Amino acid sequence: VRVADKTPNALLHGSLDALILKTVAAGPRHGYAIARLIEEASGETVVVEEGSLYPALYRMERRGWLEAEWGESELGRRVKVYRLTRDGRAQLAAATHAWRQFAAGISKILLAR
Amino acid sequence: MRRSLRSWLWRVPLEEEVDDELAFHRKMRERDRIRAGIDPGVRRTLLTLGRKRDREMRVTQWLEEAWTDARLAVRQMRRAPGFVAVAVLTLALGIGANTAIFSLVSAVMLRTLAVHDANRLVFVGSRNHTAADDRVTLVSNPAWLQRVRLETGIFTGVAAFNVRDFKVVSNEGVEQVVGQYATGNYHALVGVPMALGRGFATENDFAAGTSPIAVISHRYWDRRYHGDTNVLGTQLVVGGHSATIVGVTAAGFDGMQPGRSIEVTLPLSIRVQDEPDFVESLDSWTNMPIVARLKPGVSAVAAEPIIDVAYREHMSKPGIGFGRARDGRFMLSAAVVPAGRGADRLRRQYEPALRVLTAIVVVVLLIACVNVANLFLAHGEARAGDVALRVAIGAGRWRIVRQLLTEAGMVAAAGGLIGFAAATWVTRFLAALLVQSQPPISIDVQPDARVFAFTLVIAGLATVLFGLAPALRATRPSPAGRSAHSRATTAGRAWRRSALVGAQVALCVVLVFGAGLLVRTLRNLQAVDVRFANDGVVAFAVDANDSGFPLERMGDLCTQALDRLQQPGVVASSCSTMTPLDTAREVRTLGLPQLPTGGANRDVLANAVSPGYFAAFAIEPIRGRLFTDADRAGATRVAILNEAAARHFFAQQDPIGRQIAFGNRPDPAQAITVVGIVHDIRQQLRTTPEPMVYQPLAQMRVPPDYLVGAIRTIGEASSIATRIRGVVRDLSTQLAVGWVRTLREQMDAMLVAERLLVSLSVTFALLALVLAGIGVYGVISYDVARRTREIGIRLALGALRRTVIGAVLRQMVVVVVPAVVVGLGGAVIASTLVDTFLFGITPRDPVTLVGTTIVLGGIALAAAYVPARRAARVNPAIALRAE
Repeated sequence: VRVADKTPNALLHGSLDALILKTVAAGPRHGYAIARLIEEASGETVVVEEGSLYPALYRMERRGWLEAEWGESELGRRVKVYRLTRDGRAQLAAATHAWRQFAAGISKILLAR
Repeated sequence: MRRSLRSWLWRVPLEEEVDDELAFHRKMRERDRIRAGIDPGVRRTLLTLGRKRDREMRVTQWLEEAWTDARLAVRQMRRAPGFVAVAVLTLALGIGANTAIFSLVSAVMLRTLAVHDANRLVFVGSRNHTAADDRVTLVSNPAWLQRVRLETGIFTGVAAFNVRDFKVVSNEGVEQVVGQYATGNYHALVGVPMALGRGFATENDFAAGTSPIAVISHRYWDRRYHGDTNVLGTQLVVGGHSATIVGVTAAGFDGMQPGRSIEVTLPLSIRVQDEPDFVESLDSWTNMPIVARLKPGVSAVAAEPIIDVAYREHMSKPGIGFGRARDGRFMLSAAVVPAGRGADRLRRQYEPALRVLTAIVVVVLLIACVNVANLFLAHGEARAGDVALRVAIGAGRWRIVRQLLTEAGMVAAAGGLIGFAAATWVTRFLAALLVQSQPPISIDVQPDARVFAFTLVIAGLATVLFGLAPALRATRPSPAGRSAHSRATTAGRAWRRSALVGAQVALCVVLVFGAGLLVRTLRNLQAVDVRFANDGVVAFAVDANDSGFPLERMGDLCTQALDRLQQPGVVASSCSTMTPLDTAREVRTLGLPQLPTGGANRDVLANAVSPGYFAAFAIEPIRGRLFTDADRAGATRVAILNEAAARHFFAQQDPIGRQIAFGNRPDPAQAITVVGIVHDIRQQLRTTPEPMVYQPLAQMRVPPDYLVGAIRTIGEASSIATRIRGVVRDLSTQLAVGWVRTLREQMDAMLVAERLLVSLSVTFALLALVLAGIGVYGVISYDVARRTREIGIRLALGALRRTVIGAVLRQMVVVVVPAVVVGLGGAVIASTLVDTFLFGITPRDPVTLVGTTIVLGGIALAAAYVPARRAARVNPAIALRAE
């Protein structure tokens, strides 16, 4: 998995993927639950729109980071549940590492006295 | 993988699946919001927003984005109207030039005849397989036509036509029109669409005396009858016959010889009636293209050998000497060539000029694209912040590239529209110019779907050429570099712009070099020593073809006209069958004397002249005598040779007093005595003098049907010119004066194509120079502005201002010199494409090479000197304080 050599911009853009991976890492979730969890965990500072969420989910599924299966929701509706794969877990680790580096770099500049 | 396969195979269910998921998402979102107490209005907007983004999954969404991009592009452009105007106009120039020239190319080279199934039509002609080119000649005669008609295995039918000028007599006087004789099956076989009435149907081709009928063209119907439908059944007095008009061909069909708009078509039987020998003579060949329709499943290639067998057999009949070399070898073979685009005389004539023009406009388009690319690059830098912001809020790179390309596409579309409009105007102007050439060329340059499609393609191509690179560049993923004005990135950008300016300079060199070659060609042509007097000579043609005027009186009539035109200042006057620069020419074979070297060309130009001819054109005798009034009919038949003929036929011997005779097997009784030699003149500008035999007009056995009167005066030639038509009309009401013009005018008419090319290429070259100059100026100024501080430091440390100017100019040299070198290389390669058009110079003409270098160097120096001086004037104190 190539992450470290990616440019910061791609990282910024790809951070939604990382957030999703992180959320699903805790256990299988359906789309709405993923969105809500991210929103709640970030203290509502990150708002996940469905227009970004689902394309991201499909993309990640295609890349093999997520697996999906149809299940039943709390309301008894047919719903798709996403689960992290091994590739996904590796990707999450890589993304976390890259983020740590990037954030440290930015902090050095912004928070410097 | 599975999913994408499924989505590809089975589109809808996947969308339903997505819909299910989104519906669930929205339902949940709604429930949460209602719980949280969000008001329904906001909810609705949120829902519509959500719905809008849903379409991310659908194709229609693409269009929506395009629309958004377009609206955004319009907003962006409003903010920079100057930038947009320059870009649009530059592209309009490039696209317009290409569209205009393509309209010509399309009209001359590509247009298929507007007839039924044109692709199955072929011409049956012949090739000279001993000649260097494989040019197909379309001569035939009735006997051969009848023979071809026996080939029913490959052709469904065979027709023929014979283009010539007709005289139409009406109440308004005599009018010359382009017409043709055609076989009775012509209209049906070719599949000519009719606007009114019928085409020929049952007319017998070779039986004289059938009642004459005529078919007129839509053009002629409009011009002479103003589209009156009662024209059918009326009489047309043409070529001395009264023919009943039976039909009008549909608009868009003007005969099978592009460039010559056929207005009146008469049955071939009328020619048979006028020339009874025409049907019988086996070995008299005329420019009468045979056109045939191939049977389904038969190709032109397959038909050719079959026809060739018939041709060889036919041509070996006793009495046919056509196409044989002196040793009796048959030099011709039959050719079957596609006729769907008509006879290719016009194509052959204009192909070199069109090739030059195409080369010019392609370079113009490239320059325009490079220039606009540069503009976009500069514009993109100004908008870097904007792009960075959009990247930062999550716009994908492709999305932004698309947005920028939309802007480029809109600029190209606007440029294309303006260019297309301008091109239709320019082509009309070009067509009007071509009608002035000799003989007049009429082409239909109405822009058609093909031309419009071409414009679209060119505009699209331009978009990619000038839009893609700046768009990719502007969106290169490095948001950090975008906001910081680090020196490294600006240097990178300057380098890129320098490269573009270099490309522009190189292309400019190609254009300037090409224009230089054309200018020098025109000047060489104008400076050709024609070796005859062309100042103060006015000439006019009288044409007795089909007029009913007795041909034996032609000479007298011409002399009488000259007498009446006599006025103070007239130095000399003459009548002759050929005059310098006129396209009318008669080529005959000289059988006597035997040539020292066998098999060489025995063609000569045969000119019948009155005694005043040599004085009228100031042609000097070299040896022997000129003609006098004593060389009349019945006296000893005499001839004068030009130097070329004397050299070719007599080599070292003295021709004076020797005998010559015309024809392949000359009759010694018909021999003519050579009495003089005159110097060569240029009959045409581009060709070196050909052998010519002059004979006294009064001694011609066959009276001429066409004579040119020429008058040389030291006074005002135009005062004579205005009287000519009146004088001829007073002498005969049957004759038409074909043309009246001074030799100067005639010379100008011969150079129409060259002048057209020169003016276009020079205009484009100047525009390109201006653009290149601006480009160089822009890059150097930018560089100077960027380095103000550095220059300030240098000056503060004691650098001389001269050194600073030198350093800046060196910057220019680094860009311009390689560009000029590359450009000159390209120019030399490109110019070999056009060398058939050049005259008196080679495609690597050193003078033009040096001249181009000097011009480009001068422009670049001037463009760089302004910012260089600005650099030298930098005040170190201010520059250092500035940052």
